[in-house]
Amino acid sequence: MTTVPDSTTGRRLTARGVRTRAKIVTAAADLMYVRGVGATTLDDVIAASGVSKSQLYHHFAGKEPLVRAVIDLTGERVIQREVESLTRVSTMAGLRRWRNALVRTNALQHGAYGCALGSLASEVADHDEVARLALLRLFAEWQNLLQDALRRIQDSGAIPASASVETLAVGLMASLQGGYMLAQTAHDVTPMATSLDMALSYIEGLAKV
Amino acid sequence: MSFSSQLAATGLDRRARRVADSVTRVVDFPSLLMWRGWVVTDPLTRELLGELARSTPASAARNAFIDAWRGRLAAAVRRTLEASAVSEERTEASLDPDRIALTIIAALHGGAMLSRLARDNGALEAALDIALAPLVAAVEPQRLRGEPQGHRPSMGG
Repeated sequence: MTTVPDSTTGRRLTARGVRTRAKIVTAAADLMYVRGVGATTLDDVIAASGVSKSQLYHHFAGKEPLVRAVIDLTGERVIQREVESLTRVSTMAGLRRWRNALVRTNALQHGAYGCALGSLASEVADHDEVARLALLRLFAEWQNLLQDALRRIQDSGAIPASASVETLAVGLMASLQGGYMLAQTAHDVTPMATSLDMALSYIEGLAKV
Repeated sequence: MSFSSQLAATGLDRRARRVADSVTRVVDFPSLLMWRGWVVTDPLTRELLGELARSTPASAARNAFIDAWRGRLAAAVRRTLEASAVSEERTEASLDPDRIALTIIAALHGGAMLSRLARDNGALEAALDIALAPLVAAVEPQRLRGEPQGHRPSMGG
């Protein structure tokens, strides 16, 4: 029987164990996305995932390691989505399409839940150093994708060579995350759209300075 | 329930008042720059931003505070543009005081989150500078020529 190591406990898992663990983490991620980390209990996760209490504790000693696994899963999903959408961006028009896709998706729920990764960062980074570092790495990876896209735009001449794409990527990420948070507070995607539009206008305007 | 009592009910009262009041000090471009320097290190603002970021679900009081803050910031932007004699005929969206106000709040929110993550103020400063850039461009464009100013943010990884 082939086994793989459990990334949380290090113990070997059978294929069934892998599936059970995935069910738990997926259910936890969905609950925490909608209700927040603080408001989600292990009992909630047990109920939503359909696993037993002993199965959950076999994989996760407590809430903290489960939250870390949720960060890993959420990070994987977000980075995969961003790799797909940002690696094809090499013009301002492409950057606007990236903006449109994010705004449209968020509009479906009227901004209700914010950025999956950003929400985790807001709730968890102060309390768990391991989680903070994992989130920092994920945001750095996302920011690098943005930076690469901006560099391609810069290489084509649409952004001046004197502009720091690193700084622009940080600013764009901050506008995006702030926009997500304001949309969540207002239950309306408009602040996210405005925030992103102002950031993109700023970037476009650099060429005219 | 009045806005004040709503705020008091959420415990945001003292910090929210101070953060919103600080904006009334902005009456022209120099005072705007001073406010910018102050806000990136003000602990109450950071605390408030942290709490707003963690607020799920959204509450009426928090919404009311963000609206009030945005209104105060928009008024500050108007005063800055007037004091610098920026022509009222300039109607571009990037100079709209309400939009700039929202952009500032989003930059503070997102920048504070990223800075908290990195334990480094760089993200907050970069974000805020970008949000204020349209004002700087209208009032003192020579500031924007050449390399962008400010601390280069460090993100790990």
